[in-house]
Amino acid sequence: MNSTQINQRIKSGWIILAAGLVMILAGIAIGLFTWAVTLNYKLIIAAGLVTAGWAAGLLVKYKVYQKYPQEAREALIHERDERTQAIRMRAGNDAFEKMTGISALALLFYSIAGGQMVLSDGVWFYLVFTVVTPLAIYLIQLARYDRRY
Amino acid sequence: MKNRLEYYRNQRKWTQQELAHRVGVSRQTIISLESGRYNPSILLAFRLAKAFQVSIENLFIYEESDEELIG
Repeated sequence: MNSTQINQRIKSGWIILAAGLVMILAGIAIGLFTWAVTLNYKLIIAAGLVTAGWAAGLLVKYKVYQKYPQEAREALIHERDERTQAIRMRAGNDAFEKMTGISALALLFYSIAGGQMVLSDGVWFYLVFTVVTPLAIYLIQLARYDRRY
Repeated sequence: MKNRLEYYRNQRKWTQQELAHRVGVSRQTIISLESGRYNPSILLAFRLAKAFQVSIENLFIYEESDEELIG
């Protein structure tokens, strides 16, 4: 990664950080001044915090790269290293398989224990979401990669 | 898969770090390759063969008991 690319990443980091801060401020402003509006301002603040946190992480990372170019090269080699990527991919696969299994079991037990289901049961819908979403993404990606390769 | 990575590296008096730099991987990958715990991608195999100026067949020896290795 050359210095121009590092500078571009730093610039992007500042822009994302600014966007995160704007979201936090907007969330606070909505919470303070718009009682009549039923917007969930906490969600906006949370999204802003996540965005700003992500940007801060990027900024720290690329500022360090800017200051120590040799270390930056090492870090980049490690990041792109095929063994590292293979290990991450395998760990990700394991996490997906185990998490999907655990979520499915949790849904099963909750459904059995719940007896009569009511449509407003948020926990049940959350569990369904945690089972269905990864599987849906998995199937979409299977089809996508099948077409690509 | 067996390989002659260590043999060729020692022949050229390269350190693991030096070889890693030449082929653009981490030193840990070279260590894993040399110990036979990791099988390289075809691209890395070509890069290694090119670095040593030998053929891939010279560098890597295919065996049928490599299914459980990463890569």
